[in-house]
Amino acid sequence: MRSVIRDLPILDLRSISTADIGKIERVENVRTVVLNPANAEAFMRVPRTDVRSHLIIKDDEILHIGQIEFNDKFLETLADNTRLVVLGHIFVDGFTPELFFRKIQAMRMYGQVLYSHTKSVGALLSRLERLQGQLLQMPPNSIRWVGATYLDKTLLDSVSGYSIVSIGMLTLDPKVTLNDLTSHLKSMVQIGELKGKEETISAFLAVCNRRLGPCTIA
Amino acid sequence: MKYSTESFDYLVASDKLQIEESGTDVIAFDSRNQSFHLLNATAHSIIQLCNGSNTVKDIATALARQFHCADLKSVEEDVKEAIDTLRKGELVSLIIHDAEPELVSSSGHGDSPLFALSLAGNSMFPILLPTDKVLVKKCIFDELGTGDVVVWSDSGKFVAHRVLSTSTDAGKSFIITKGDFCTEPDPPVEASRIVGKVIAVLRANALHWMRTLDAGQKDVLDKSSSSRAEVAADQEDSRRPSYTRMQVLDLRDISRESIRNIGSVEQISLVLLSPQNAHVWPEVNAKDVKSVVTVPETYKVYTGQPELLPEIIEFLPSPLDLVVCGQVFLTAFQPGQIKAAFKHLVLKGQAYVGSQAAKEELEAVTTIVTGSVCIAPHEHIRWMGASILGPEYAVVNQEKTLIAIGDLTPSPRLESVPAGAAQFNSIELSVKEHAATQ
Repeated sequence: MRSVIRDLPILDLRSISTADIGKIERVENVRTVVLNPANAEAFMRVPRTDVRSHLIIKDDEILHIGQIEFNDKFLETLADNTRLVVLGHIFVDGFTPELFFRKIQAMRMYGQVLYSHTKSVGALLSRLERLQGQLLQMPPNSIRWVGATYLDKTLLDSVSGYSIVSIGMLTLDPKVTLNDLTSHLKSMVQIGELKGKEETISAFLAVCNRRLGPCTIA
Repeated sequence: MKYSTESFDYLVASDKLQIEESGTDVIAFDSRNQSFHLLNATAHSIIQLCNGSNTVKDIATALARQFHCADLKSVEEDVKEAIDTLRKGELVSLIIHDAEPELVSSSGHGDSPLFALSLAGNSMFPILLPTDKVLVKKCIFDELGTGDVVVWSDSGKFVAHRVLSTSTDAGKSFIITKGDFCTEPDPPVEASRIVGKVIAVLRANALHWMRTLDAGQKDVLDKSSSSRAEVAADQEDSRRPSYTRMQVLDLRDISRESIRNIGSVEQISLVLLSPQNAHVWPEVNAKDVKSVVTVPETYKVYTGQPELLPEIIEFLPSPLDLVVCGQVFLTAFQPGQIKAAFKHLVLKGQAYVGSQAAKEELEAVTTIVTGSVCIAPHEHIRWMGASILGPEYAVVNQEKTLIAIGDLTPSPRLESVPAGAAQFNSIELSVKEHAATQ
């Protein structure tokens, strides 16, 4: 029996044997396929469409998927001389370089690195062998919005005076004005799709120092 | 011309020497004549230190430290004596760094030392890098073969390119050469202009043998047509995958056979290959592939739009070798800091720096595959993807520079493009056209 795998953000095949990989008939619409060195060659023979990237995790590497607050607390959880691969985003508000160098031997990063502490990101870059994504500056201790967010006046009132980092789809309430945005948001970094009226999107972009993603006029 | 060992001579052990440790004995096997040499601890240490970067004096100092000997002068004499013995057995060679062209040309090829020469240009990228020194062994026409990297003299300068073919016509011998990074072969080179063969590369104080750097290419060149036919027959029985609509297709860890097995590659922004498998890429059925980059092993690869910072410098053991595909922002770097941070940058896209001086400094260490180095202020707004530029931009940001990467659509309400948004974005015309129709 041969299988078709489709419509997944991440397809992790690291624990699948070469023989079982051979049983996959087709892979369709998968954002990232994760493989190990032993089965990567076998996967090269699997027909596929719309597979946007594949990632081979070597035996001595550790894979983290998702958002990481990359600080001393996170570093303490790692073994010394870890070779770290991250599929997702990391936030760097500062860590102890000595601890970082003890814990991280090498890094590969597939996603965005958002940083506010330049010395820490300098240390991180010195061990970063592969980066696929952005390296974006954010104000220190920014509020994070992760996932789909609906931005209206109530939400703006709750974050008044703060810097925001938004990752995920952001839908703009049509009642939000340029004045609302400038009077509440100290600064804005936005990654992901932006949805709203043309005037609202234009106003929102005017307060974005950094942004990445598509936008849809609703 | 005879050469005697001196304190300032650099030394390299033969690449044909295999060192095996068996219990307390160390045996050196010379593959050229299938002979064995029993090495004592001192000779073993000397051979290990003959790495192309050490002089006789350096080796003596290291040994004096290792064996706790205070009399450096006598250690140096012993090292010279040992080196002379090893040289007689052709186990170790002298290296002369940056010799005058006359000396290189006039020395014979028998007892000649190796010459470490600095070469300019990127024509042999990625096998040779602009900051490398090549280690050249003098040779004659008959010793050259297809695929060798040969050094020949051109108006007092040295050129290192790969041999495509050799020929003899009316008593005169010629070679046809081409740089790996060049699209066209060089004009024929007369045998009398040949200096020698590149046997190794000195890169960041480490020795890389050419046969290792070149292994992938040699293997492909040497493949017989019959074995190719066998591979092709096997492939007919295999399922042949296709890759479509991907940002980055990273094939650096993939074998040559698997790359040959790919059915088709379509609509890919960037394909990454290794020096070992790059030479099979022309066999792949590829359509609408925007960029193909061969990445040397020691290079870091950044794709996307990274913004790098000068703070990196204090943590780097040595400057970076980096491939950037996309846009890299270096606007925070002051002139002088770029040189400290980057040894070699391969750029496919745009690099943004803060000043003309920084631009010149970056261009000096950059191989631009496509794209350019641009000047932009460090304080700027950056939008990537699809964005809309409305009149609100100027209200909030006044004349601040906007770098938009991707689709930037002017709002129908925008009557004129703010100066900061016009600098890097071609939207002025569409706004004027829109205003004219109102």
